[in-house]
Amino acid sequence: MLYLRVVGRVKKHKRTRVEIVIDVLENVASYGPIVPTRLATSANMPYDRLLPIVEDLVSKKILSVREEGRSRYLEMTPKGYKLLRELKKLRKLLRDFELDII
Amino acid sequence: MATVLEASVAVVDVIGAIAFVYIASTLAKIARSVGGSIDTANGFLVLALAQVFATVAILSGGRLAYTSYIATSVFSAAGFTIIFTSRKKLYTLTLPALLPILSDTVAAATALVASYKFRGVAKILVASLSIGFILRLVSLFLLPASTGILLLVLGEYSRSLAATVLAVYYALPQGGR
Repeated sequence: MLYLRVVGRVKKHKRTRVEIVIDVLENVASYGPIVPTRLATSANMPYDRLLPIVEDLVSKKILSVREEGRSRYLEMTPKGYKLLRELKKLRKLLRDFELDII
Repeated sequence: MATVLEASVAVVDVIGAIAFVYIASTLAKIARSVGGSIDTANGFLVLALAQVFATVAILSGGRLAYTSYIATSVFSAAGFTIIFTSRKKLYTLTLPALLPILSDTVAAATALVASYKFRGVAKILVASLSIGFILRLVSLFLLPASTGILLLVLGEYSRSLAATVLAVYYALPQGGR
């Protein structure tokens, strides 16, 4: 009972957009070319919420799309790797200040 | 003894200013690469300027020290306002800069309001920064009594340490979450 009370008080942290972008980029970087549905699973978010974020990243040339048959693979661009490096440097600051700069 | 204390606070302030500039430049790089706003980067740059003014206030004397003293808290308040309003575009605060009392009050209140919304280490350090400004504010009413001087020194230490730890902590390479 005490355990339940304690667990009940734990506030679930809602990821900011920047945190989601970092997670998406990290997953694409670590898995290599990845299909959006698998990316949604690995980034732990619904496919319909992931799609606009991915489209935004593709339009900004942070991710690129490669079509193979009927599948669409997402890949990191050099600009994407550079951005991920910069975002990782300030990850704590972006999270703690809740800065949505992307 | 006083010179050593002043010099040590000045050194800490300079380190803080460098760290804030580093954060601002990294944020500007991110903003440039995604075509986003550089408001937040500007906010940290203004905080770096506050550190510079704090150093000048400590190392100089007369009117320049007085002006820099006021500029320290005004620029801090302005910096936090830019950062705070860039994350949630709710409102902007008017920042009076007529007297040190007013500017310290604004700085302390801004940092306190901001710290309420921030999380993790930022919450603690920005709250400490606010306490530093409150101590400075109280000391102004007690000067030139020795209690006032003691509070002023304590306030300056608290403010400069919190600002510098904040800047250095977030400027250092970060591994996991």
